[in-house]
Amino acid sequence: MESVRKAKDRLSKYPILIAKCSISAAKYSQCVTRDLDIKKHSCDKEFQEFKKCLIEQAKAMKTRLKLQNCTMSSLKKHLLYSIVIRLLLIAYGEVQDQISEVPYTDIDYRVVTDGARHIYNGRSPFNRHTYRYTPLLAIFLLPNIYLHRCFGKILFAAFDLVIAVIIKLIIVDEYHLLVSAQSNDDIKAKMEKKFSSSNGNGASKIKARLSFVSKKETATKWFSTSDRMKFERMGNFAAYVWLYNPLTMVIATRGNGDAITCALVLLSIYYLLKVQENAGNEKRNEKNVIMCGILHGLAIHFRLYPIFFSLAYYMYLSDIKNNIDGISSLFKCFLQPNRKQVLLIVSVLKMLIFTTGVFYLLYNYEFLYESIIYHFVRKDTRHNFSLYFYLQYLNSASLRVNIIEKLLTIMPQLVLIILISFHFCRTRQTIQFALLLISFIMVTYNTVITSQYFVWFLSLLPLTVNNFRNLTLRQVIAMPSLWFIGQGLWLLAAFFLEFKGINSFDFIWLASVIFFIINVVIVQILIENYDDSSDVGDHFQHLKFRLKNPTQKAC
Amino acid sequence: MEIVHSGFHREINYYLKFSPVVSCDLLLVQDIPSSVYVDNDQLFNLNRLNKLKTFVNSYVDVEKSTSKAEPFKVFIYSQVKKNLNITLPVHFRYHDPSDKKFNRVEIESPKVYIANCYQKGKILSLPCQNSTDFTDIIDISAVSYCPWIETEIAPITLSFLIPVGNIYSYTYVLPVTIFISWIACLVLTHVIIKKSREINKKLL
Repeated sequence: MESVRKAKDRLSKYPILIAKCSISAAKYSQCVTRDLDIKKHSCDKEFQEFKKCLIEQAKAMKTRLKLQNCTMSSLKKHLLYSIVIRLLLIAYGEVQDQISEVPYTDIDYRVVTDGARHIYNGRSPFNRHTYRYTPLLAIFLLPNIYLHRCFGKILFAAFDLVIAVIIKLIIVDEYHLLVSAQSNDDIKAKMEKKFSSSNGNGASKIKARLSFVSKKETATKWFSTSDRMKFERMGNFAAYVWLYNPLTMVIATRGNGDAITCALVLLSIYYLLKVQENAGNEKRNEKNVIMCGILHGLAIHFRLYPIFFSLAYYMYLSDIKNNIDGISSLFKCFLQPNRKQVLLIVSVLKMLIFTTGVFYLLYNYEFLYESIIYHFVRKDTRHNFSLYFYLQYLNSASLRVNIIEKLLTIMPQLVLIILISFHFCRTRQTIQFALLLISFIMVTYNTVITSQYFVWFLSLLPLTVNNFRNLTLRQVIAMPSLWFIGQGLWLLAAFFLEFKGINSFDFIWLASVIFFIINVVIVQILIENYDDSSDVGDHFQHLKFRLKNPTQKAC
Repeated sequence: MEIVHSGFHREINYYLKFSPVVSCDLLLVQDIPSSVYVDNDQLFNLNRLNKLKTFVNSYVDVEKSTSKAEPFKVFIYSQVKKNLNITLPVHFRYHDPSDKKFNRVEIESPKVYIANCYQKGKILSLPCQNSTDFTDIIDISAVSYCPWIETEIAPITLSFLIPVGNIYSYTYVLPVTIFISWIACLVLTHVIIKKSREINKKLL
């Protein structure tokens, strides 16, 4: 009770504090009410003066003043925890490497470090056998040679944290954008209605108001603080899903550079989502498209798989946002690209040509073969999770390539990726979910699947946490359980072959078929239960309520 | 010499006995047939931990199947002792599918050489002991050669069976695999189109 009394005591002093700072408070209030269309930080100077005065007065009155920025603090705290966990894992890795025959460090980390050593000595990183990455990775890891061998791991762990921040930014941004778009539409529709029924004088007023509401900042003002906090919480939650995922922690600290690709993919999505159909902001939009293109090109340069997101990005920029009826409109938004779509293609191509060109000049054909062509012609027929493993193995003896068979194995995933890109990628509400689906299907149908491929969709999963609220608890438990059971079955069959020397090829194939079916069932459940309304619907309700009385300022 | 464990990942154990123990450097040259491989990176780790000093004079592609791979040699270095145990981890490659369930693989015993002691015998020029310091295939050409003296041992041949894929399985694996992948594709297509209609109805 003592603390309550103290708090009450403190609170009772606050009005006195404000009264003592009346001059700076008045200045600040004048500033914020001066413009109708106030922008963030435009009254920063006045606010800082007011804050300074409050702190000084509080000191004089010997009372405590809690001034803190609450928006990032929660995530910041967890980022700090994550840094500590990751540093501990890296330190543990050093110990295990010293004493154990099975090192903690990923074998590829050694490959890239060796590549970096070759660059350091003025040679090509491709001199290291099995170096099959972009030379950029070895360049990033140059400090491994002259600073410390753990530098790269710390770098990858840092990218892990960057990913968490981007995930949060995307989620918070997405909601702002969604609400701004909806409120713009609502207000515009209402104003236009009034506009058509009013005289000239009123019309000019409404026109001014219309231009006012078309700005994004205005729309976000219609939120209450609790709404915004909800976004923050959702963003933070998604970031934690990534930060505390044991798989991502281990992958980065073992020295796998996939975090860089994931960060690039997410950043390109971030810029893609920033693109709005706002007529006034066309220039800014184009900048966002170009940024998205450059980052996407770089992501493809790092690892080939993001190339399958290209169509999704392209379709997102299409002008046709509503239902596609019939083949003709489908082709219209695909075959008649708008300016933004052309910009995207051009910037992706420019980036790809630039990076490929530079490294081709530096390292010749070796670069092309090892880091690009190899990934296309790779034929690893040893047992893996893929549905196609046994088929490929049985086929490996024959020298002739059966084109029909090849087409039959490639077509289903292409069909699905194209279908998802066309159907789910044109709106903000659905694109993140669509990208998750694409990566999941890509992995499910891949001709080679090992555990490291699962990261492809793990980085996109946090973005969609919000879309799975329709799932029942049973489904939430059943899906990962089934998934792990499928893997377990496969591992059992593979164990008999690999470690017991029993001919269990048929069983491995059967297990891979079961694992494939489980994956497909999961995709099906996810699509069927996809919750597109999510929290946004509630926010629209708020908005509609407030819009009835537009002069009232929320916040 | 014997081989332990079962399946595709095994270890060759060498037991060597020397009767007059002289301080000599020891070299085992193990011929590795194309159906077997050693993992360069695994051997590097053992080198690093001083558990096994080896040198491989070529890059070993661990992904190749037997029919596409080449045989090669592993050089194992040690010191002459009264009783010496050496363990070399080896892995088996996939064989092309055939009409049999298992394929036979044979490994011959290694050739044994000694150096840096006063022994007489046939002298050969083979990679020096410091070859184990090479960590990268690109440096192999810089390897230096030293004189080694051949020592006679009783030859042994190890033989084991490795499972192979059944070529006749193809008749059902092909249609079932393709059929399942396409059925899954159809089911998902149906679900995607249905959901997309629902979403569009809500958005409009």
